[in-house]
Amino acid sequence: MIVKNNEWIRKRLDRILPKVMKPGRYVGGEWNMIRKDWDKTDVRVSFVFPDVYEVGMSNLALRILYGLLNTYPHFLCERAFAPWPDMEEKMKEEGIPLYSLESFRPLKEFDVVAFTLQYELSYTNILNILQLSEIPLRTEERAAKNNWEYPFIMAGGPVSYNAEPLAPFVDFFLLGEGEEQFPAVLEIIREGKKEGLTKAEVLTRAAKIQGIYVPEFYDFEYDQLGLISQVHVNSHAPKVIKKAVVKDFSSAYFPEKVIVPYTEAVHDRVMLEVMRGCTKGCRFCQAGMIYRPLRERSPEILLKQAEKAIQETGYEEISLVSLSTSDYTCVNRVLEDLMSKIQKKGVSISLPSLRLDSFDVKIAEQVQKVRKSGLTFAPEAGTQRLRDVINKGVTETDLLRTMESAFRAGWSNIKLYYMIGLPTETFEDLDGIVGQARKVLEVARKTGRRDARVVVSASSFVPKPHTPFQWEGQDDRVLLKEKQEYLRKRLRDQRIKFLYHDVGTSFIEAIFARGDRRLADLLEWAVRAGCKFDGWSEHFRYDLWQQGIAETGIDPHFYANRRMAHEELLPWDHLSSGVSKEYLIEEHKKALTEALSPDCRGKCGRCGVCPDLAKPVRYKI
Amino acid sequence: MAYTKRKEARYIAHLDLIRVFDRALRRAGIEVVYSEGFNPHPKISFGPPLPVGVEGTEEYVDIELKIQEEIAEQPFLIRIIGDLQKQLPEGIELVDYAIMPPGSKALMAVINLARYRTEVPLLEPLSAEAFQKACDRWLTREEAMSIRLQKGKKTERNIRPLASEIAVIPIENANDNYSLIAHRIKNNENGMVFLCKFDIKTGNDGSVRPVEILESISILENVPIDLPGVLTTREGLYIRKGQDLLKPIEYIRTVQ
Repeated sequence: MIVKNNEWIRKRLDRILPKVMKPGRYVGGEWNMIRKDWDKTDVRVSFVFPDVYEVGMSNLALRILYGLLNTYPHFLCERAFAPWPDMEEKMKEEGIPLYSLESFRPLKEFDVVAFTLQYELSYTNILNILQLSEIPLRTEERAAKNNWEYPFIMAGGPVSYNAEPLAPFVDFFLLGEGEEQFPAVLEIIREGKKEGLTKAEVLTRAAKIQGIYVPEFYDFEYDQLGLISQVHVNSHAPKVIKKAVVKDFSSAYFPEKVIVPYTEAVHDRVMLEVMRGCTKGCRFCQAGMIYRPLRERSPEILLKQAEKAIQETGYEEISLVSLSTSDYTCVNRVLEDLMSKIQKKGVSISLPSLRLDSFDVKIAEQVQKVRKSGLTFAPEAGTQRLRDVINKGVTETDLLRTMESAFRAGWSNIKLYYMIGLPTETFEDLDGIVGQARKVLEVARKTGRRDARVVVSASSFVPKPHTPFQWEGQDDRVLLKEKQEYLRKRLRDQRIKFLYHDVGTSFIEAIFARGDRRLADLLEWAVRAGCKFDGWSEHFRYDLWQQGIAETGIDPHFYANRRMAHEELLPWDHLSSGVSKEYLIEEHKKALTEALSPDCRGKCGRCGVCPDLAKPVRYKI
Repeated sequence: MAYTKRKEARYIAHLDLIRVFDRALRRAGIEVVYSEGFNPHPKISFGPPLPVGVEGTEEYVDIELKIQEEIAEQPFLIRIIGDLQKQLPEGIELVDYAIMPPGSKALMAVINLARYRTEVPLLEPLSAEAFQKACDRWLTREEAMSIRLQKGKKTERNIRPLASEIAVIPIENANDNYSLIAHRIKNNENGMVFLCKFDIKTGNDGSVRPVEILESISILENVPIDLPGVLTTREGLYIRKGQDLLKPIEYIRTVQ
């Protein structure tokens, strides 16, 4: 019998790589890749981004945790990604299991397979990756075999805040920031291996760490309406799992020696994380809630990191990233320093997330001296009323004034992001979107930019757990389609391009976003039927999903479209981001009365995060 | 500069190479000339593309460097080559260099011949003579049509005129350089691997991959080749002028 070890895999790959698209995705060997001695480490982690290489390599969490874990002499961390379907097919033909890019070892040989959950639509890829790795899907199937035969299946990242649909497949989740907790849990596994503990014993110990959620320690009971009636918690486990927070974000580990991919990544540049958290409190936004409190990194540290990163990577671009970079207190100073030190080396600077209420055209002009390709803004809603509902503190006057200076500074392509199907939305709000696009063009005409183009992008609202809108239902598919059609007809203009998302995709996303464990059967059915890469329109199979929904007898509307009651026990009530349910209820009520909540830098909204879980950090200008 | 493209580096796509060199040069602190305009790009240009997955032992790149006039050329170059080498990925090794005289033609415009070596596993036993005869028969044809699938589009063309020589080398005649192959033969379930050498026209008018020729031979001359198992190496790129065969760097030196 053939032993499918790393050498065999590497050799076998040469037969198929010349025939697949972008083979550079599958061989590693990139600049700054870390190759450790397998035999000299105690705990080996395969960090898996459940999407294609170019997407995964752009992820900041992967960059940080890969670098961080490998600084520990006892730990080894290697990468794996979802193979594109052409590669998957060839791998199956040749009998090659999924392997890590550093050592070409099958994932099954690792102690931990850690998935990062960035979006619900990658759930199918996670199960598919387990299949390709010849690892049984469910925790109970893995336990039935020899106790340590299979790796621990772990998951973390923003979607862990409600990953209940994945609960039967994952041994443990890490809630919150991984910089301290990930090494801590690996240390427990290391001890467990040494002491000869069973995996169950290791999990019992791990459950004591802040942020570690072991789903098998929790049992749900449902009433006749299908609502959660009771949760039974194992005595070893906490009733509520609180997220992990890094003690000192500013001086926390940051990787300057990041891997430089050969095949172009989506974000192929140095990413400087200037801050974590956001103070705006937009009511639809999960990131704005779960990453609280706002913590900034000191300008001195950022500058050092930037210089070192350019030196180590040779990247030609550096980007200041966060949820809202123009809100970073010292943004001007950091930009000036960076430009004086780095720009002369032929390195350009970019700001990916600009908010239009604090957007300074002068900043943008300085930064994007050469390329005036396009500017992106997110008004999110078309009328002031609806913007008040979602707590997006932006007025149309702000928008138009900013547009005017942008056009005067030479920009001519503007992208406007909106959401449709927001709570309380009417067709009047849609008219507002159309009106806004026209007004932007009118401003362009007045400033002499007759060549201006506007892209209007409308995504469909998906209620997300841990937000004030978590109780709201998603618009019915028929209504969403009608709204898209309504906009499409009214945005017929050569100067306007209208983009919108497939409603089927948003529907599946909404089902899983507010899903519970009972959805695991549907998920497994879908994966076995061949669903994968659901976030990619060319691979999304709504027909299969519909069939799966019918066969597993799941009511999708119960999850996606139902308006939940404030009193209900929710499938994610035992998972805490620190933001209290009372605060979310209050924000929800305020939304329905169109009342604004101020930025919490000005007045604390008492969401529950500060000061117990962490404190906000800002730097002086 | 002449460089190798071996090991995992052979999976770096041709279009990605420019970024690989640009970033290595920046890490090495070597200043490159950039083009003017809205979207400046480094003045780095390559010879004929190497198909992804094919190894190269002498590939070529032209790089326009910024230098101050008072610098002595040779010591500067030696330092630059050393600094750049340290920043290049595993598998890319700088093996030769020369300063191009001003106004030299781009590599793509002058290189017109590529020499390949392939390791060809067969699915059924066959003598070297019989294999060579099959190749010669193929070479006497006037036409050998080959279909290439690119970006979902099928294009058919006659590849026969692009090949001028194919030599099948029995393994016992292979010298020590090919000990790797001996290792492969030992591990090959069917125990039959040949070395084949190809001279193929290349340049701006396009070219053909050895594996496409082997595919054509396997079909037209009925040779049982294990096509996915073929391992290809480009051993050299040349400028052929009549009888003369010059390596690009020799060519630059003769022009000087």
